[in-house]
Formats: sequence, C-alpha cells, structure tokens
Amino acid sequence: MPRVPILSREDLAESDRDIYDDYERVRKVGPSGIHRAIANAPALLRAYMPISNALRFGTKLDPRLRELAIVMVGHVTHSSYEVQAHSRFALKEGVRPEQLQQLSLFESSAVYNTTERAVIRYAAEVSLKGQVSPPTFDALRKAFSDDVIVELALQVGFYNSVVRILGAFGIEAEGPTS
Amino acid sequence: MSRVPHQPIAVATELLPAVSAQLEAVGEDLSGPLFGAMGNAPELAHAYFGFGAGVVSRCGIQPGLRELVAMTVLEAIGASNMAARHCQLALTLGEPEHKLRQRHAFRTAPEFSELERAVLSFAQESARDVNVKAQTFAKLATWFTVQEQTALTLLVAYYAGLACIALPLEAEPDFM
Repeated sequence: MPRVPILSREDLAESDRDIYDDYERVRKVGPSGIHRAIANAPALLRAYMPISNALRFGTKLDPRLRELAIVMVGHVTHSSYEVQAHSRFALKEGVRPEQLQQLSLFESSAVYNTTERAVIRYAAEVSLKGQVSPPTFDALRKAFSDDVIVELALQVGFYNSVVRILGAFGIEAEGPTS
Repeated sequence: MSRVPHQPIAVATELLPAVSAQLEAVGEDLSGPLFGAMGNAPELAHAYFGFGAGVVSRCGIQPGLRELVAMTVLEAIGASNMAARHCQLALTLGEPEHKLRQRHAFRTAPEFSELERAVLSFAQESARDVNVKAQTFAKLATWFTVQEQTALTLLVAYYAGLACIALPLEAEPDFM
C-alpha cells in the first residue's frame, strides 16, 4: 500500500495536467506509479521528467544493457517494482528471459557475454557498495568509450535514486514477479 | 583523478544561476571533478543539473537542515569528501559547529529537535537500506505535508544517486 497518494490527471491542478499530457505524448502510455506519486510535488515531477526521459531515450548505451543494469539495481536493492517494470522493458529491448532469471548467477552463467557481465557487475557493485573495484571499471573501459561509461554511470546512479523513492513511498510490484 | 577525462559542460542560461549557486557554495565550479566527469555525456548532465537544481531549491526544509540531510546521505553511502563540502556549506548557512560535530549522534544529542531527528532518521535509512520502514516514513507526517514529504524523499534520493555517480567515477571533489 503506497504511503503517499497515487494521483490521477484529474487530481492535479489544471495548471499541472500538462505534465501527464507530455508524459503520454513522449512515452505513449500513461504515467506509472512512481511518477503519479512524485506528482504530489508537481514542480519536482517537472524537474524529474527531463532526466528520466533523457536516460530512456537519449543515450548511446545499448538499451539491452541499460535494462540489464536497471533490473540489477532493482534486484540487489530488493525493489520489486523496479524489477517488475524494467523486466518488461528489458524483454521488449531483446533481453532473453533466461538472462533475467539468472541475474543472481551472472558471474558464472553462460547466458551472458563479457560486456553484459561487465555492465551487470558495475550495477551490482555500485548499488551494494557505492563504488566499484578497479577490475570492474577496467572491464567497462574495454567495452565502451568514455561517454558511454558516463551514460552508464548516470543510469545506475539515477536508478539508485529511483529505488529509494520507491522504497520510501512503499510502492511495490503490482503482481507476482518472476 | 577521475576515471574518465573531464569535459566542460555548457549549462543552459535558465539553469545557470541555480547550478552556479550550488557549486560555488561548496567551493566547486563547472570544471570540478564530478561535473567535469559528467560532461562526457553533456545532454544527460544538463538534464541531471535540472533535476538537482529543482530538488535542492524546492525541498521545503530550511537550508541548514537540507545540508544536514545531504551530509547524512553522502556519508551513509561513503562519499565523505562530498559530505565535507556540505558541512562547510552548513557552517556558512549558520549551523553551529558543535551541532555539526554531533551529527552522527542526532538521535540522542540535545542539539537536534524531534523534527530534525525524524528527517535525519529517514535520510539515513533511505540511503543505507533503500527500503524505508513504514514507521520511519510515518514520522515525517507529524511535521510535513504530503507535498513536503515527497520533496524530502526526492532530496534524499537525489543525493544518494549523486554519490552513486561520483564514487565509481572517482569524481568526488578534493577534501577541503
């Protein structure tokens, strides 16, 4: 049960409804639970959406790798909502179901290639320890240019914000997670 | 030295005052290590600045407590140099030095009010554990509206995310 109201478009002041309209225009779906919770502070939802959209639509990072990283952030921080929502996105972007199912075994499982393993390891280490070991960072350097590494760093950092918003508001997965 | 080269970022005119004020207040500028590292992805950095400027300017708590929140979150994640910068800022905002020295004992030290204890307990638990206990969040409702609780949540989340960007890139500012 969420600890703050989950607002519909009609709950917003008329002057703020454009935030939801823009959301639907950009994403082709209505605002999700976390955005409808942040809408309790409409000015902050306005500040939040540009970085959320830029990370979704404006990066060079392969979207499969992006989603693997985000699901791993949710996985290690026990954010059921994040895992559920981004597992759907991951599958749409071409991540294979067995890659989602074996995240706990990513170091040894044969379903991941070297680059996928490097990205998942980075996401896990940052989310668990705040920082990453030199070998973990070196593995990124072998796979990516500096700009893509920074994109990944911003993705993982931002989703460490997202899981804390979900964890404060008590927003959990809407159905069984698998 | 950061793990990525530094790149200058062009900040949009409308964001420049807010961003510059934040940076100058903690002894940074737009070529500092964190913002220089983020400059490798300038569009994202620009959007991230907008998020940070919005959250910091509209968090709804008084500036001294805001800086205590930043310190609490950053220290919980291990970003001690960033926390030290915010400690300097808290001093310039008028927070007493002896109170700042007692910040790790905020639950019991007499320098802290019940409101501050509720806010800092929430900040520490969110930063450290990610998932916050219902009773910790519920205490915020004693002093804050839903809008203010939402803003405070985003403030905590913002600094947690920032630490999770700076530390792996080794782009914390130098210790002052």
